[in-house]
Amino acid sequence: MKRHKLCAILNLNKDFKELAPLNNNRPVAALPFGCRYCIIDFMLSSISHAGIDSLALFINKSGRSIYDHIRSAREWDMDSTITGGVFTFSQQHWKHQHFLENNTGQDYYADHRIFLDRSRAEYVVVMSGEFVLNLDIDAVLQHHFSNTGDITVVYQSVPPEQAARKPHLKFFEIDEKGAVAPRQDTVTGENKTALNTEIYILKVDTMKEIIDRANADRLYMDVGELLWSYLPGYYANAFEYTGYLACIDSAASYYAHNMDMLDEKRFNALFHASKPVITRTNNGAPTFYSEDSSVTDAQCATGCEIYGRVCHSMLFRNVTVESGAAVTNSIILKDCRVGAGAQLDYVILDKGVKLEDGVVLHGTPDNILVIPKNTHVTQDLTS
Amino acid sequence: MKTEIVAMILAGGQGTRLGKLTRETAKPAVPFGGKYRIIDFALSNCTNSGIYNVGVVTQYQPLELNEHIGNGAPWGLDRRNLGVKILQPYSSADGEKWFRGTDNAIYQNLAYIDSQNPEYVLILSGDHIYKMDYMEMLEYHKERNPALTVAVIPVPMSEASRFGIMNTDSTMRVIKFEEKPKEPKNNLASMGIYIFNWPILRRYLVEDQAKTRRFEDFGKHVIPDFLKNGENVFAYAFQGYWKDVGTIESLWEANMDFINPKHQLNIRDQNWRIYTKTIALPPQFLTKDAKVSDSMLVDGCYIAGEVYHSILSKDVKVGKDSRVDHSVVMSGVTIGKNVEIAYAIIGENAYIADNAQVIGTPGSIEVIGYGEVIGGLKDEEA
Repeated sequence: MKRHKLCAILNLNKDFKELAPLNNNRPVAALPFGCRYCIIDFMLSSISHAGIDSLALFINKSGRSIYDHIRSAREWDMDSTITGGVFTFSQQHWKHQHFLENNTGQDYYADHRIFLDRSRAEYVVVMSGEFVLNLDIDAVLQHHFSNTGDITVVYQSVPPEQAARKPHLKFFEIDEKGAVAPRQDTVTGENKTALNTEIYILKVDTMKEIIDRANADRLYMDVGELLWSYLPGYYANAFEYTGYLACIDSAASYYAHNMDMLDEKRFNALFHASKPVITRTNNGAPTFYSEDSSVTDAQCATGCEIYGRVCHSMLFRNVTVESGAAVTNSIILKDCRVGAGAQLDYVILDKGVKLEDGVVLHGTPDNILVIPKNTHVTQDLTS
Repeated sequence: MKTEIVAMILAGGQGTRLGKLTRETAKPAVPFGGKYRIIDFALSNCTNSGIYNVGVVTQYQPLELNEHIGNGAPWGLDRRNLGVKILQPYSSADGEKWFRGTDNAIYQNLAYIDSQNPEYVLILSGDHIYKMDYMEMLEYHKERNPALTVAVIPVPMSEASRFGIMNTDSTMRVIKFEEKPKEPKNNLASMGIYIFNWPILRRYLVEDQAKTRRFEDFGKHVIPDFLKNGENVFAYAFQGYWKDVGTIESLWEANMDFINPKHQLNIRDQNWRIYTKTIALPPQFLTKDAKVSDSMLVDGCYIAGEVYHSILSKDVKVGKDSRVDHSVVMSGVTIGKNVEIAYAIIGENAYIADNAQVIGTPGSIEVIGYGEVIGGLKDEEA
């Protein structure tokens, strides 16, 4: 594939209050996932495997956690000294407020425009940071080439009864030609509903045209939302993604989708179906399982020391589970310590939580107990 | 540009006593401790000591080693003007120049060291497992300012005859060097770590080359000559874990010791981390049937069987009803169902088919070579 065919815009603007307290001070995409990854890794890996070397990141608030993770983007091959790179645009929320308050009619999308021009790409892929998936972007591009459309939208088929009708999720119907049906129209009888994964491929020129229209219409929003708004005015192909897909929009979905990985089929679908998922590696020591430990139906990253019992749970990096502790149905993010004899059931420990010996934390399947980052827990808690 | 110190890691040795494990790879590239290769310890010590000028001298089967080191980024050795250089033998107008020994390897890389223009040269061996702050040794060297400082480690007197022993006076000045003495007078064993004042070593090397061309090895030729000529040589006593994993048994034993979380090396110490080239792999997956105890696992492992007192490297699969006991399993190994492995070292990418057995004993460790396939016929016949 010729270089500069594609560039990528990744929008990390969405925030969900149901994710609290996990999303305090970090965008959804910076949340850890699957013992050692960050949600953004799945997008970055898909982008990297497509040979894309120019990426623009639009971040709602502070980008600290994202920058800390991506650094030079060496792991994703986006640190060439010759072309490309990762360009970050944080505090989009403030910028948006500023534009609404001082409606000067300037170009709200100037950053996008410069990025698109300098990437020297012919096509752009636009993605949204709350989805976990392993997508072959090349295949989407090929699909785009072999169909006569302006925009290709990536969707996943969801049986209507399973379609969680959350306000932020976008569904559409597909007509008999496999194109996105204008939403107001009646549709074919296919008993499927297409969930928009909010991934779009289009010509850079088309993207710029849409930006121009938005400026004229004084419509200021992230370009993913913008594409959805202007989609009815274009001919849009639909590309079906059949792999593992998760949308992380609440503590409950964060818990459920992490736990999905304990299911071998889903684990393999995400990690072993397409290209490998790339992340920043750390130099953690191998994980130690003591003689008295018991770890079953579980996943662990490196750097852990396990002396207690772990069942149907996920341990992220550098977690210590002291002897006599019992961790069940729980997710423990990195650098946590579970004291001797402590008990956890249906709990998420955010990074760096320390549990004193013997404390008992109980959530329920319907109400997961989430302990915020760096908390020192000295007494029993329930959700 | 003047440089204070250049490190030269001698990584060209074969390690013949490691048998199958070094048939196609150099000893410093032999995997250790689940996710490391032996040379990681020397390289990480350099970075952690603040030495970013590192030459790695390779010769025997260098492919895997070169691939591992790459541009040095995993150890932070890819800096703007400094970093790691792989130094391999080359031919020239004088003919082919295979390195004839540790010292000859340095002589033949005179041009590299000269280009760095150092005051001191730190000579390291790429096949030892230890953590050491070379800057402390350099401080010691600078205080006394001898021509050479040799790092030594006290070994039990009963084993002293297996090592190169430095006989010192009360100030740690080296009086005599004895290679594997029958009746050792001292228990300070050379660790093969030297700090030379570069101008002095350089003079010796160049003069020898002009005259007798006798120098090959530091222990056999250079150190005795230094002492004979009355050069100041000091011993620097190192306290801590140091292991030469030169044989199958010692490699296995060092790995088994390494499992202990209270191990003297303290691999989890954030202030002296051991770096290695890693690729991101999915987490360790322990199924409902898994039983793992007193063991170490790394990323990409999939365990549906039982693992006791063993180290499993990345991407190792252990099938149902299989049992791995007191063993070292290197990366990419697939272990089928109902397999029994005990007291063994399984080489990278080996395939142990269903129902196979690989059983060694504590005194005689079974070794499966890289990519070897064991068993499997029965299933095909069935």
